[in-house]
Order: sequence, then C-alpha cells, then structure tokens
Amino acid sequence: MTGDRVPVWVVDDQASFRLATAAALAATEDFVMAGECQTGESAMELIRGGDAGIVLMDIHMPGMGGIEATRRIRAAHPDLMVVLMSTYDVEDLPAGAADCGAAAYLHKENLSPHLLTRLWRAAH
Amino acid sequence: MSLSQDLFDRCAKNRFELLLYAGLALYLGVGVLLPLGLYKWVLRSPWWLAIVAVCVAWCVVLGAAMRLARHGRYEQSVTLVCIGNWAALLFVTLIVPDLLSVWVLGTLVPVAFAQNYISWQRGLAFTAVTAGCVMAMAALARFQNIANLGAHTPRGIQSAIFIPALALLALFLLVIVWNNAAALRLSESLLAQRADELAASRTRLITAADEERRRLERDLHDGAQQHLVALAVLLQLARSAEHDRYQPLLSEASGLLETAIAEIRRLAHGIYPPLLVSGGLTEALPAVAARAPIPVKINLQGLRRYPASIEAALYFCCSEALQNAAKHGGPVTTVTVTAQADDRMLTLTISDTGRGFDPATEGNGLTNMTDRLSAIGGHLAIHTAPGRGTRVTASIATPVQEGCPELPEKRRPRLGQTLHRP
Repeated sequence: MTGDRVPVWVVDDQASFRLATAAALAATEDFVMAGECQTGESAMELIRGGDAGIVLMDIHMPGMGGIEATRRIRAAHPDLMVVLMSTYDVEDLPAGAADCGAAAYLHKENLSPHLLTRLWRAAH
Repeated sequence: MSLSQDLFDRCAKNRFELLLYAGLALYLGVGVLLPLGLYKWVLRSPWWLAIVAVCVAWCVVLGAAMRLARHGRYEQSVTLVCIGNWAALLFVTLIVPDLLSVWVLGTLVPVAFAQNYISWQRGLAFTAVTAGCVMAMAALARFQNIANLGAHTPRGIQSAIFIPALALLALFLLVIVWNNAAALRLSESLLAQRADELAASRTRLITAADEERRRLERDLHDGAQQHLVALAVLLQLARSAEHDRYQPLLSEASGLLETAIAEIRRLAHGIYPPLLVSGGLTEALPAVAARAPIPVKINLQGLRRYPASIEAALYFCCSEALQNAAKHGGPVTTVTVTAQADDRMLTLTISDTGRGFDPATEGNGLTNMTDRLSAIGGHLAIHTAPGRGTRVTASIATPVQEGCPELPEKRRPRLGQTLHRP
C-alpha cells in the first residue's frame, strides 16, 4: 500500500506537533505519514496492523494517555514500533513509561528524519 | 466572624448594664433606705442623713455612668463609677468606722468589675488607687470616730445590719468574679472558633495557590511550549532542506512563533495584569470590563493607588465576578461595576442582571475571593438568589496616607476592647 516506505502514525492532541511531524515525514524518502489522531482511543481504532511501522505517541493526552495506548497497541500489533514522545525530562515521566512496550523515548524537539531512520534501522 | 463578634459585644453590654443596675439597687437599699429607717426608728442622728445624702449623690453618679454606657463609652463610665465609689466609701468610713469590713468589700467591687472594660495601664492604676483607698479607710477607722454612732446604736441592730450587709457584698463580689470568668470563657471559645476559621481559610488559600500553579504549568506546557517544540522541529528540517523546500518550512515556523508569543502574552496577563501595576484600579478595572464578553457599565469614584495586596484582591475579585456573570448569567446579562472610596474605606460592587444562584452552591472562585479579602482584612458579601441577579460587594479599610504604605496592623480586640472607643 505504501510501496517500500515505512508507515508512520502520529498520535498527539497538539495540532502544531502533528504539523511538524508531517513536514518531517514529507522531507524523507523512507517514511510516509499513515495517519494522525488526537487521542489514544482514536489511535486504537485507526491503527491497523499488518505491515511493520512506527507509531509516534505523545505521553500526555486527554483520555487513556499515551502509556496505556502504547500498551494496548503493542498487545494488538506486536509488529508496530511505538516511540513515546513528550517535552518532559526523562526523570519526570510517569511510571509505566519504561515497561509499556515502547521502543524508545524521544524529546519532541529532537524529531528529525535522520533520528527516525536510525531508530528504524536499530530495530530491524 | 462578625456574627460571633456581635454576640460578644452584646454579651459584654448586657453584663455591664446588669451589674450597674445591681449596684444601684444595692446602694439604694443599704445606703439610702436603711439609714433613713435607722434615723426614724433607732437613733435620731444627723449623721444618718449625711450617709443618705452621700449615697443619693452616689446613685446620681451611677445614673450618669449608665448614660455613658448606653452611648458605648464604657471606659469613661467605669472610671466615673470607680472614682465615685472611692469618694463615697471614704466618707462613710469616716461616719461609721465600725463597718470597715463592709466598706472595704464595697471598695473592691467596681475595680473587680472594671478590668474587662479598661486598658491594662488604667486597670493597674485603679488597683493601686483602690489599695491606697483601703489603707486610708483603715487608718480613718482606727484613728477617727467623729460621729460615734456605734456607741448609741443597740448592739443587736448593729449585728442585724453588719452581718447580712457583709454577706451581700461578698456575694456581689463573687458574682462579679464569676461573671469575669464567664466572659473570659466566651472570649476563649470565640478565639478558638476564629482560629479554626483562620486555619480553614489558610488551607483553602494554599490549595488555591497550588491549583493556580498547576494550571500555569498546564498552560505553559500545552500552549507555548508545544508551539516552540514544533518550531524547533521545523527549523531543524529547514536547515537540512533543499533550497526550494525550506521557504514553506520557514513560513510555517514563523506562524508557530507568533502563536507562541501571543500565548505567552495571554498567560503573563493572566498571572498579573500589567495595567494594574502601572495604573492601579482606575486603569485596570475599565480594561477588564472592556474585555468581558457581556456589556459592563463602570462607575469609579474617589479611587487612588493602594497597596498592591488590596489592588490585586479587588481586581481579581472583579474579574472573577465578571467571569461568573458571563458564564452563568444568561444571554442578556449586563453588569454594573461601582467603586466608591473615601479616606478610610474602599467598596467595590459588581452587580449583574443574570440568573443568580443558590448561595449554598457558591463556587470555588468566590470562596477563594472571600478568603483572599479576609486575609488582608477585607470582607466579601454575596447577595443572590435564583432569578434575582447577583451582587458581589468587596469592602476593605484602606491606609489613610497617600502613596502605598503598608496596611495598618490588624488588631485583635482584647476582652471587651471593642466596646471601648477612645
């Protein structure tokens, strides 16, 4: 469906960050934006497994929040790689961030095509 | 608080009048009727009439003291009673030295009673004068006996007067002591109640401050910071982008930056309005009224600059009341903001034509405002009922001097202190 590009979903209630992610993905040949959602709940509905891909998951969102959403998505689709994101320091992350099944934690401001590529290659 | 203070004042007032009446009855009986009877039936000595004259004069003094008390001038009233009592008892001691112990007890009565109504310095002076007076009476009784009534009055009658009179005065003195203790207990329980109220309002203020910090953290994190984060990502992309692709990235970045700046400005304004710092209530209140989504009529009279704590409390009180009116008042609500100030008091009234509410369901915002005002010595009154609109009245005593001096220290009234107006 997306050729050999890796599908990327972004789950974040902040429109400005979804926009920045879209711009970052548009600048690469390796990734493609597969979908955006604003809450963990809508991500559960939208994201269908099948292909391997990346989910960029904000931690602090209304509703179930990013940690619980990661846990459920990983349980339903073990092939997907979930990257947790927020603007907080690692020390300020909620309990559960380490063992919810996320592959990495990323400060939002560090998101770049280069970093996504490195994360993807490290896992595959 | 004002309710319990009221109760306290009323109690001290009733007590004062009751004891003056008891004193009057006692002196009319023992000092006027008894000597008249003795003059008529026992011993025709003009000295009895002299005692009657002194006691009548003394009753007139008591009457004057009652008038003073009725006008709330308790300290003057008590002073008059004490001085009159010393003079009268010195005189009767001179005439009837045999009853010294009765007269000594009589000297102690007004001073024991007065202590709750006068300053401690005056109380100390009265105690010293009373001790001196007792000494003088003892000396008079020992070395003077000009009338020598005792030699001519039958011993049986003397005992019949002396023993009950002594018992009566001792009882009167004990009632006063007991009454003092009761007033002290009342004052203690009111203080304890006030301490509980203070502790509760302090806890609420701290909770409100913490809540405010949480809200600020959320606003900063979800607002400006998110825009700045996205901006960082876009700039990073633009740096490594091809020449023809970085222009749109930069224009998106500049849009985000403007949003972030507006967000921070809005947040900073909410933390402390800049107009309040520079221009005080006179400039800040019209500005907050102009920003309100409903029509606000504003009428400010006599306002000047006040200490920052007063200005901030009244400003946030007004802005809270306006927010409430806009949120709950209904579609055609209008608001009138009136400020009235003289040298001593500042009153701010915010009344709306909205739906009103049941006062029992008062929200956190208004409770916080009440606590905040009471913490700086002010008072917030809320008059409302469903369908009747809402009127919020904030009042506070203001420092008299020009400029922005500190608030005068709030004095806790001593037992009976509120009754004494110098």
